[in-house]
Amino acid sequence: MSTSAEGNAPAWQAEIAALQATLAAAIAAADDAAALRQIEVDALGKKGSVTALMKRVGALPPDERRAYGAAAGQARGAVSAALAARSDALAQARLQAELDDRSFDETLVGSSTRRGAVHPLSLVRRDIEDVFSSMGFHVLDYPEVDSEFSNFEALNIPSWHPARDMQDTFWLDAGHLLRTHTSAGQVRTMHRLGGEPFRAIFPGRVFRYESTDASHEHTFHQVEGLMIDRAPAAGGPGVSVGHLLDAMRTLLSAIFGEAVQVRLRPGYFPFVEPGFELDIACRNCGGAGCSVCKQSGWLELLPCGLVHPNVLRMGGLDPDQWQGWAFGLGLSRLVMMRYGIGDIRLMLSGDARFCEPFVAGC
Amino acid sequence: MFVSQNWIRELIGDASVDFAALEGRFVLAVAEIEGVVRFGHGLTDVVIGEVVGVEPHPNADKLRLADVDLGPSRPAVRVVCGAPDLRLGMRVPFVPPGVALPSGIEVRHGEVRGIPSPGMLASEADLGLSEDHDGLLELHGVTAPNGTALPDAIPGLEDVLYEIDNKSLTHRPDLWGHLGIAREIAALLDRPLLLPPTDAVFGGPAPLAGGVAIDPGAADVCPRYLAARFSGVQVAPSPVAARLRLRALGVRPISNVVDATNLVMLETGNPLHAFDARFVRGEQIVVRRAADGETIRTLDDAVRTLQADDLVIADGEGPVALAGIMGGGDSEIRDDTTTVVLESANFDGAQIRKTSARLGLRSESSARFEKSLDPDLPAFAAARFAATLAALCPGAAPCSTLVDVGRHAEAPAPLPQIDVGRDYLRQRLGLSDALLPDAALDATLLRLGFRLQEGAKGRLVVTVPRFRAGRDVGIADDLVEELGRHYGYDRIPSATVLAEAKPTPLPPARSLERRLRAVCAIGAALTEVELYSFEHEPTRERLGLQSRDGGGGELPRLRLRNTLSSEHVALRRGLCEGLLGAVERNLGHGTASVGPQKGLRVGLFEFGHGYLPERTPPQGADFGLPPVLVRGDAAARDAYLAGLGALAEDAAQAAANKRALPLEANRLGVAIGERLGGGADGGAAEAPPAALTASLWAEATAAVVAVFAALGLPAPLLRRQDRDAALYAGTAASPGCPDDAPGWLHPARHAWVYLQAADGSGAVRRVGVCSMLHPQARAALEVPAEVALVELDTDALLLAAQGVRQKAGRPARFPATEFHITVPVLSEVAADEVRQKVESVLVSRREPANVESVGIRSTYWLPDLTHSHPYRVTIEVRLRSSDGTLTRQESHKPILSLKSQLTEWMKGNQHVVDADLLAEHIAALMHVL
Repeated sequence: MSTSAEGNAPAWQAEIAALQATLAAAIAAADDAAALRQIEVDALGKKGSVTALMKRVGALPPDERRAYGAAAGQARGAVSAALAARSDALAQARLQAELDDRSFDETLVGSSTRRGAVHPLSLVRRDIEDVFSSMGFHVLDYPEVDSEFSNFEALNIPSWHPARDMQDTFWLDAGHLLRTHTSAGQVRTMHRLGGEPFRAIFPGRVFRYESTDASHEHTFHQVEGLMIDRAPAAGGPGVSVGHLLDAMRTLLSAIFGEAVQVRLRPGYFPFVEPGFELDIACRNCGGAGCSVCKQSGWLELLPCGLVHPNVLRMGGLDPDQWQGWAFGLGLSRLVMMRYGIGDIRLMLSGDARFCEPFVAGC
Repeated sequence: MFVSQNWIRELIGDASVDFAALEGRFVLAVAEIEGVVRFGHGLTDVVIGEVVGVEPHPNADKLRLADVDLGPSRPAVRVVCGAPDLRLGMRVPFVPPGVALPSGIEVRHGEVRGIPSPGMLASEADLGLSEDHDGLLELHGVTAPNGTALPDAIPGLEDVLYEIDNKSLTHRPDLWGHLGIAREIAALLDRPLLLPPTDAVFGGPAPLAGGVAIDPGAADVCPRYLAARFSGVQVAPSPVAARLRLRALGVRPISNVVDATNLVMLETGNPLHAFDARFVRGEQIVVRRAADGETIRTLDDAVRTLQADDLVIADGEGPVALAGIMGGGDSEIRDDTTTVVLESANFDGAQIRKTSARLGLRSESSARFEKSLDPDLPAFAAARFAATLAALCPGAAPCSTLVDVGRHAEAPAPLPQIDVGRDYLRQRLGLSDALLPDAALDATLLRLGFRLQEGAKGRLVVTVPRFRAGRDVGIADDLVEELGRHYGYDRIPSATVLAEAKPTPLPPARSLERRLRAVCAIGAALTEVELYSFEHEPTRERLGLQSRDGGGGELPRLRLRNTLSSEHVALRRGLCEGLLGAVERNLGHGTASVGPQKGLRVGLFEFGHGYLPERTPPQGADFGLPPVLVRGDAAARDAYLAGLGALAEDAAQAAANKRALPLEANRLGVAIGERLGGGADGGAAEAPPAALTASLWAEATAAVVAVFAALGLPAPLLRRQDRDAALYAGTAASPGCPDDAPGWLHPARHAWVYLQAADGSGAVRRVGVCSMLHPQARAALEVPAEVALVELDTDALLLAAQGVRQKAGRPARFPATEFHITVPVLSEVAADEVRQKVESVLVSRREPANVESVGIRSTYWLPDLTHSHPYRVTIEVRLRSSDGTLTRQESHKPILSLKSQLTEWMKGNQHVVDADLLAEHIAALMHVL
């Protein structure tokens, strides 16, 4: 420790200097923050070596105390400064090291975080509901298990009618069936909203008793549209083929997001008279003719027509007072057209990979 | 159905019709054209050759050498021919070398087995006229000299055929023959229709000595039956022009007599049948119902067993034809037939359709009769048969009267008349007087065969022609269609109707469902699927998914009366069964073993219906239909239906056997599954690791919590049935709540989901269930996996959410104080019970508790489960004041109240909480805070 030599500096001077030198060396050697922190605690902490120097001042002769105090204080300051400097240097070195580091592999792209998805049917149905409700249509829901009455009789399809051949039906007990078309909601809607002009759509699941292949499925989705207004005889504008054409053009343009050209061909459906098949100009070729439209330039899209007077009667509406139009849009078909789906059976396959691309809300 | 351009030209007497221009109008006005086929083209280099010599081929047994005369302008040739029917004197098509035929055959200067063969004698198939290559095309009835080019020799050989979509003719019985199509085209072109000649003279004795009659029991389904006898028949192939016309239209030529019946059917639309008079036993024909079990051998050589409601044509001894569908084999025309009895009749469409569908026997005849044909047509068709037969079989002529029986023959129903204002017709089309003046309107209807009279006040009385009078045209709206399609739907100006539209908001249930869909897809990272409404029987059996009620009885399903396969026989009661199958399939796709994730996890959700036959639908289940139409008071129903005309009876019938519809519950189903690491047995027998179960459970229940939060509902209460039996027993399930015991429910690892009233009244309703998959079902999975399932009654949730108004959150301004308290409890206590207790203690304090949240932070079990309080639940409490930072004292007070009240918490006679340990925890906590 200290040897006292007459005339020389007191022994503690060398002692402080030595401690300072040791610490300086340790600080210089410390190569991370933890080591530095340990040095700081060992030196400047409550029981630290530099702190201990300060405590010894009382044990010295009074005449040395001032000098000792100054020296110890200076040592403490120097150690602190060295610590701070080293800390800064280390921080700088760390920064530089990170900036110099070239091991980062930016091609390890993130994956396998599970994402949710919605079914494309939901997306298209939502768009259609939005288009129609913005144009004053109610959006209604009806049961999938329905009565023979709603599905057939109420739609002017009595039991002898050949149209029942086209509607291959899943039968349940008690005159119940799985509805073969959303048209089963027509008469219900007339009873529900009739008495005032109204317009409504009712989307939903329908069923056909037929075997499946890439373009046929026993379960699929439709949207029925129905608009009823007062006949001219009752002081209203009436409902004409011209109205139907305009409505279909407007609504389909909104659904497809661009102007759509439509045409009507005669089509037979017992619940409308006249009845039509509505074609749209082929969206693949623009009407010039291609393989998609079998060179005709037109794609058959939906059946529609003016509501048959018998159906109005079934709905509690007097055909002299009320007129209407109706259409049935194949929702599944629209989904397939929009998203390029080649096999309708994928729609109800429950295969998560089928829905993966469809993020909710987009 | 095929339509021949040539035939149409004949019927409208205009050879110059521009069919290309007409096609578009035809499609818009009449029916869909599915295809256009060219027939008999490309044969201009084929000439008539006459076989003037036949010699054996020196090197082949089956080949012969034919010397062929090709007329004065060409030298005769000798060619090799393999046709078995090659005969001296026959005239056949000769194809010179260097000619490429439409069938793809190229004829060359060839050599066959060492003999040169400069050309070819052709069959129908060689010329692309049919698939028939059994023999040469013998040119019967061709008078042109040898060497004449085929198209010049056979008038009408070159034709264009339109294939019309049969579906678009369903309601138009008049369009099932060329005459009807020609009538429409004539009307489109404003030209007259040229009816073919019907000048045959019937006369003499009755066709059958024993008579032609309709049995009274069949009178309703046979409105008319005509018969006549033809003698002088010599059965032979028809002239080649007739044969090729049949070929062109897809009908196989058979013999002149049969061909005549078919040609008349194709022309008029009315099917005919010819019997060999020798085999009409007892010289009589009776149209009658079949006897049950009676049999008939039809022309296709099948023996058919009949039922009492089938309709047959019988002779003195038994059925000789299945009325309107197919003739009998025993009385068919044979090579030696000389006398023929013709049947030209009209049958009820529904009757024919029923028998034809039951027997699975469809013919050109049944396809037409089942459309309900014009009862005037048989007389015309009989006359056309006489003319056609005379042309195909010179010498054949009627030798009897034309007998005509049936109610239509006796007293035809009056033709329907429609009294309609011209303005109504225009209004429905959206046409003004200027666009469709009276004169043009009238002219269109006249062209289509309607007769017009002026009615009162400028109205029109329209008489419907017989050929449209069946079930086709009967009301004013039918005339709207007639006018519209001939005016041109493409010329109708559109009239705005949607301009004044006011947006109608979506029904709340719809918009709330959208919110749930987003929560599930974005929030819970689940994938939406749509699955069949039918349950998958093999999966149900394998996994034991039968749904039971609380007493263990199996719950009923809606069963299909007709099924497509044994896999789908009944409707699902819930969604999880199907979702489970989908999870299994998705996990089985084989992606589990690749990629960074060892265990593949898939999460699916579906919005769909559970079909619940035993539950009563809530009010309004008729969905708008007046009750009188679906059940109940017969008198009221009849009063309602009065005035509906013909429909009333059917409607009343349908209404009479009405029963309430089953309940269709709107559900949200969720299934999250993760594949288990495979052992030797694929891991199926292994219990899933507890951590995996916990993680799936957390994910599934988090989805439930998110759903409730998204709807603004109070947090759901989740309790296992046995944990809180009083809660389960004392709580009503919502109407659409999942079944008490679905097969997938894990009795020890599930929670019922309770909806708590927002008003804090404490009222609860059971609305759903979360469960891990039942271990037995899990063991039967084809892919070893652990699965968590959720099923919620969304109707109940959406109903509760409809009044809820969403509010924005209010971020606090002052810092919070958080503390954790570990509560040592009895083993049968659940963490959430502890949390609830802590929350209630804190919230019920008299002074402001400043409780922001009380949550479960963690739990653990002591290894020693025999310890009195082995379950440790750490509760996380966050305190915050809106007035300022909490003082130390303010933080301590609630903790002290916790200490006292938790200590007193009793269940039965047991202290729920270990008081000493709790005191220790709290002392430590106070020290830290």
